[in-house]
Amino acid sequence: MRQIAVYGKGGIGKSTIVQNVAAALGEAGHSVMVVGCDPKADCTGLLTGQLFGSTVLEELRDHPSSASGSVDVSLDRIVQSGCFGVRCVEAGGPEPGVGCAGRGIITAINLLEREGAFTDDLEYVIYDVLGDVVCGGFAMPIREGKAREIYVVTSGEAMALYAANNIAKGIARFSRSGGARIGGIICNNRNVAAESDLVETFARELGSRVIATIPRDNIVQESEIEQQTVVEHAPESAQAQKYRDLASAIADNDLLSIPKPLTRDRLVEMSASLVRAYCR
Amino acid sequence: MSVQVVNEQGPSRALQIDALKMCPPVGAMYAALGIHGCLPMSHGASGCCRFQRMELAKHFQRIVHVSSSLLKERSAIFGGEANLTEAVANAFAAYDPDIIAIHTTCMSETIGDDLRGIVGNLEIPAGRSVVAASTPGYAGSQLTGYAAMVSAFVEQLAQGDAPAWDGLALLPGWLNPSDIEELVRLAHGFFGEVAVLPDPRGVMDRAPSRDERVYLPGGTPLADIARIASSRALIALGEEAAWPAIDVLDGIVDKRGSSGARAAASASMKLSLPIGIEATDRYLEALAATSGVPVPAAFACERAACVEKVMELHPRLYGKKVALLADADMTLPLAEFFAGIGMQPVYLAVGWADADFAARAVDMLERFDIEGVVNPHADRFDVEEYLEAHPVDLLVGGTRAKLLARRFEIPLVRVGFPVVDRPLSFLDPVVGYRGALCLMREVLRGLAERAEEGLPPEGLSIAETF
Repeated sequence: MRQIAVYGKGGIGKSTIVQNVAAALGEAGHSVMVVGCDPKADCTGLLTGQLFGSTVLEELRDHPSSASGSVDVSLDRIVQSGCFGVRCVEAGGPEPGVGCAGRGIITAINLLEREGAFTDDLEYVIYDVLGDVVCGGFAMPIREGKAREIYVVTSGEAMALYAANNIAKGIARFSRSGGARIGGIICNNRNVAAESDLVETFARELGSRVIATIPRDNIVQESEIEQQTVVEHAPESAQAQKYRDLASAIADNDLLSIPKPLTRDRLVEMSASLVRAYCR
Repeated sequence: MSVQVVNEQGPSRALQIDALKMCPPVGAMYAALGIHGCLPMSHGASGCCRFQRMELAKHFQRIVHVSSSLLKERSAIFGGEANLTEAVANAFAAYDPDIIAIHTTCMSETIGDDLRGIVGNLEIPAGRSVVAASTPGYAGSQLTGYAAMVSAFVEQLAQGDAPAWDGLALLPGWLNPSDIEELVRLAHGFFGEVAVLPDPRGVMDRAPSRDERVYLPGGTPLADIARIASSRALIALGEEAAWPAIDVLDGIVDKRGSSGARAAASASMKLSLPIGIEATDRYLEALAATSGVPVPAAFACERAACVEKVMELHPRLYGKKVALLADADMTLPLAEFFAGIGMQPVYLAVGWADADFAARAVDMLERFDIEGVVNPHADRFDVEEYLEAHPVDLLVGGTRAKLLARRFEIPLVRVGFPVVDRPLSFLDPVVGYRGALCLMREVLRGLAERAEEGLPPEGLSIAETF
C-alpha cells in the first residue's frame, strides 16, 4: 500500500487533482482510498457525486464514547464508495471559528487506523490536506511514516509558490524524523507570466522536479457542476488524459527527495528575474 | 558590592526541577472563592481543576468545591461551548450559587474558545451572574490568574453609575484571611466602611457546609463589587496580583467623569504588600492621605512597640543570611523587612515574575547594601545549587522548601503558599506591625531550635538574658 499526501495553497486545485488522479487510478483497475483532511469536508464530492453526509469527526461527536475514550464507529457510515470503486473518507472537523481542526485531523486519522479502515487490499491511500499547514495536526498524514511521498500543488503565482515553499519546510522536518519525502511538484496552471519557468526553477532549487503540468481548462468547471471528475464526465477529453498521465507518473515515480526550502529572498529574486525576463 | 540578576529573561533550563510557580488557574480559583456565594468553574479538562484546587485545599486544610466543564477530546476538536453551556446550567441547578466565575485552562485557550461570546449566549437564571476570565496555564504564575479574575469581576460587575460612597475599596492581593483581617483592622482606623475584593475571610478559614448548596458567610458581597468604582479611596496591594485590577477600575472611574466622589480625593493607590515596618508605614500613610484622617495614636504605639522589639532582638538576627522562596509580590517586601532589621536576604528565588521585578529587586537590595542574587525565574534546583556554594542561616518559603532546609540543616520559616504541613499556620498574619512581629518570632524560633538541635538535655539553656 502506498500512502501519498497532497498539499498546496488553499484553492490551488488539490482536491480537483486528487479526485481526478484517484478516478484515473480506479479506472485503471487499482484499489484506491481518498482521505479528505479538511474540516470543510469537500475533498471527495466529485467522486461520490454529493457533498457529504457523514464525516469521521461527526461520528465521534454524535456517538457516545466508551470509558477509554475510544468510539464505537461504523466504518460503513464513514467510508463511501465513489466512481470507479474509489473509497472516500472525509475527516471533517469543527465549524469555522471554533475548536481545533488540527486536533481533529489527528483524532480522525488515529480512528481510521484503529478501526482498520486501511485494509490490505488497498494499493493507494491519498491524503488531501487543507491548504495551510498551520499547526501540528495537519501534518498528521506525514507523521510516523504514514504518507512517505508528498506532492505539492502550485501555480506560477507568487503566493502559491510561497505557500509551497512553506509546506516544504514542514516536509523537511518530517523527513528528518519520519521518512517523509517530496515526490514532485504538480503545476496547476493559472497561465500567469513565465509560469512554467517559475515552477520548474522552483522545483529544481527545492531539490525536486515538476512531475506534471495540468492545463487550465473549462472542462474542469463543467464537470464540477455535474459533481463529477473530468475522468468520469469527459473521459475522451485532453484534460482527462492529463490526469491519467499524472496518475501514471505517480504510479511509476521513484524520485523521492528531501526538500531544501528556499529563503524568502531567493524566492522573491527568482520570481522577479524570471518574470522580467519573460516580459522583455 | 553588587547584586546579581540571573534568569532575567526566563528559566535557564527547559527542564524545571521542583517548580516554584503555580499556574494562573490556581490564582483564579482563589480569587473566585473570595466572593460570597461564588462557585468557581474551570473551563478545561477535569484533571486541571482537580490538582489546582488541591493546592488550595491543602493550604487551608479544608475541602474546596470547584466545578469543571469537563472538556474531552470531542471538545478539543469542536470547541468547548457545548460543554461549558451545559456545565453552567448544571452548576446553577445543582449548587445554586449566586455567581459562577469561569476561568480558562491551557486547553480551552489553545483551541481559542471565545469565552466572552459563549458567556454572552448563556441562559443565566434571574438574579444570578456569570463572570469569565482568560487564564492560560502557560502564561505567568498564580498571581497572574488571580489578577485576571479580580479584573474580570471589576470589569464585568462594577457599575460605573453606582452612587458614591465614603469608604475604602481595598484590593488585597494574594494573602491569607488573617492578613486581610489585619489590613482591614488598620483601614478602619481611617475609614468607616471598607470593601475588600476579594475577601477570603469567612470562606477559606471555615469548613464548608455538608450541603453544597449552602455557601459560607464570608467573601465579598456582590453589592460591594457593584459599587467598587464609586468609593472615596481605592488601594491595591501587590504588583502582580492586585495592581492590574486598578487599571480596569480607573477606566471605569474615568468614564464616570469628574462627577464621582473620587475626583475630590487622591487617585487610586498602588502599593506593595504591607509586609514589614517600612511597607506598613507606607500603607498607613496611604490610608491617611486618602482619608484625610491622621494616623491614629494607637497605630503609632503599635509601631513603636514593634520597633522596640526589633531593637531588643536584632542582635540575634544581625547578619543572618536568608534565602527567600516566595511569589513575586511577597518576596520584595519580605526582603525589605529582613534587610531593614539587619538580616541579609542574599538569594531571592521567585518562580515567575514580570519584566520589571528584577530592577525593583536590585534597587531594594542596593538600598541596604546587600550582595545578593535575584532569580525571577527560579526553581528549587536553582536554590539548591546556590546553597551548595553559599551557605545561609535560614530559608523562608512554603512547605516544599523543607527538603532543602533538612538537606542543608537550616531552619525553614513557613511563609507564603502553600504551607501544608503545619496546620493553622495561615492564622498568623505577615502584614502590618503585628505581622512583622510574627515573622520575627518565627525567625527567632527557627534559629533557636536549630541551635538547640542535637544538644543533650543538660546542655539546654532555660534562662535567656535580654
